[in-house]
Amino acid sequence: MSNLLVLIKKELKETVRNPRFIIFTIILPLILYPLMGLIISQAFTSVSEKTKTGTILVVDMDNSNISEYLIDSLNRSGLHVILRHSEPNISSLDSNVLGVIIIPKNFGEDFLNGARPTVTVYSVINGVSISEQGLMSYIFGIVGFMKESLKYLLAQMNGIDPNLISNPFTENRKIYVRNWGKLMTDQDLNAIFMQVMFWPWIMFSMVISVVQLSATFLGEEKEQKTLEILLTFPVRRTTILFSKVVGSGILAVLAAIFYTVGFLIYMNSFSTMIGQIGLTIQLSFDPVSIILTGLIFFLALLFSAALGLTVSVIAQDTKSAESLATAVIMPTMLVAFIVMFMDISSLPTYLQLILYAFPYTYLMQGLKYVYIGRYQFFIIGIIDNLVAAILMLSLISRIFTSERILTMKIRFGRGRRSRLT
Amino acid sequence: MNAVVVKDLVKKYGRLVAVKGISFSFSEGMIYGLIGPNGAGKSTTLRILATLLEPTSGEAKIFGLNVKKDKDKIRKIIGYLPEEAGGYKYLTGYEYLEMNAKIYSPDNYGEVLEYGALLTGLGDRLYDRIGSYSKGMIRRLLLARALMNKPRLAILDEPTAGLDVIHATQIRRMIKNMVNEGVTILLSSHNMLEVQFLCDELSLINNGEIVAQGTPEDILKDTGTDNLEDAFMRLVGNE
Repeated sequence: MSNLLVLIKKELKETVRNPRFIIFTIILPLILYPLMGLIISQAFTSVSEKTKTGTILVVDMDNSNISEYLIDSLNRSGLHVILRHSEPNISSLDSNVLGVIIIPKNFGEDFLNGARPTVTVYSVINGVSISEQGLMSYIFGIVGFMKESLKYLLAQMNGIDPNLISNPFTENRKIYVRNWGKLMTDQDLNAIFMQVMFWPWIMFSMVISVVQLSATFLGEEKEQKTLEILLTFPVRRTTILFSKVVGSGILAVLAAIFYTVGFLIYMNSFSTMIGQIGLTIQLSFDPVSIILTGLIFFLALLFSAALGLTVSVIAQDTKSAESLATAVIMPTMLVAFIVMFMDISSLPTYLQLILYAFPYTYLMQGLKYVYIGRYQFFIIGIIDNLVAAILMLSLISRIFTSERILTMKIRFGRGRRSRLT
Repeated sequence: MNAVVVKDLVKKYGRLVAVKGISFSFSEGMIYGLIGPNGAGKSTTLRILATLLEPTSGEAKIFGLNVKKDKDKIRKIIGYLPEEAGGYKYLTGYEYLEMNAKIYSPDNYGEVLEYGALLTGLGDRLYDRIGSYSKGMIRRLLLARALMNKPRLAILDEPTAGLDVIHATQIRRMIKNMVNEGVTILLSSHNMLEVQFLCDELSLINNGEIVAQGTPEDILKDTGTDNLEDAFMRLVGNE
């Protein structure tokens, strides 16, 4: 029994002192996942709050008893309804308007004659994200409620079971995306949503692979005990560093090429879908957006390579370097989550500034902006990524040209003392 | 001409003083030894001379070049073998030597490479990946790397550490032979018998300080012992 305890103690010490255990068993579950949960709940709370405070603009062009009955039903359900009798300009609605429901002329008459009239419904959302998708469903849900109300009215008038009535009116669904200034169908939006939904994850996996790979560049030199010899070569330290950066840069370019090929295949699958279901909007990469997106790609990957190298300078070996790189890059996962679940423009200004100071935000948001051709976003992103890459490269250059490259050491768990002689 | 002059050299890592004001010097064409137990400050001193670390205070010169100011010049004339060194596991031994030859001797790298390959004594195994080498083979490869371009000063930190008798003997022979090729050698070791065999002069270091200097014969005579191990024990008061 005592032997078993001794062996168990050894197993536990070996495991607990492993950096991967610290990162993936302690840091991830205790910090990252609660933060991710917070983002999701924040996203849905904001949807819920918007539905409580937002207004629905109902344009009654019919002015019949039936249309009044419908508006009355909406009012009685507790919705903030604003009544109009003329069509508004969708692009200049108040920011708290969530949707516009247009009841056409002769709606009541057509309904009573069984002609099935068509109601036009605009869902007005800020951008493309899971929370905005929720708002869109909310508006179309209200239309469903209107249909139910009319079914009951019709059933009452004819003394029949409301379940026998299928669809008292049809709706023409449209979505206006405020930040994009674009009007589209819900099929369009769903197609775009499917594309931009996974984009942050693709970018995140690309970034993490480049950071981890470049982190092993020096980690391996340390682990294989080749670094000291390398540093006594009769060449400038900056030349050695430059060779590492170029090596990382080549890897970054290769990664960008492979990810672009994968991405084009991914996009092609949507093009096929777009062709099949006849969507009206398509992502078009014009030469300017290709160049700007490529620059953002390159600079973000250069920053990733420099970040990976910096991590590897202070890490003791390959395993420490990889684990540290994973820990350092984890906040990027939060950005990916925010981009997926929320519309950044709906966040408080200080949070927007923090997010846009983070170089990877541009990479993750980029696809959304390719759709709308908002090039100024790319220009700011290029400047931000360039500054971040230069800062990271100068930091690593300072470390590399001093003896700290040999004396700076981070090792997870115990054994933080450096060997000095 | 003095190959190395070290004067009042101090190296601190935070609060820890690894080297406490040591001084020594030796002439060109010699094999000089820094001898002492693990943690005595030998490797730190060699790293300073190899331009890897900055001295906290004091002075160190190699053939008149200051280790603080003339790093680039010093790196051209030294060959350094760290205590714990390895090779790039995906390169072959030949490719590794070729890279070094091209960096140190771009004009006649073919000749230097040929000499380096000969020094390793690895034969056809030189064309295998370093990852498949034994510890002794890697040590021979790295020693050949440090010596192949016949540096003016070879700094060898524990050149035979962890090697079996056969490999250690081969390496000692290589070191001895290099002096005939005009290479001055500074080596460290905690194997005092090895040093007695190899070195013309030496310094005994303990706890960052030099406790004795001179030829092995002088130190034995002064301490009244017949080997350097006993001499060291007597000097540090552990006998």
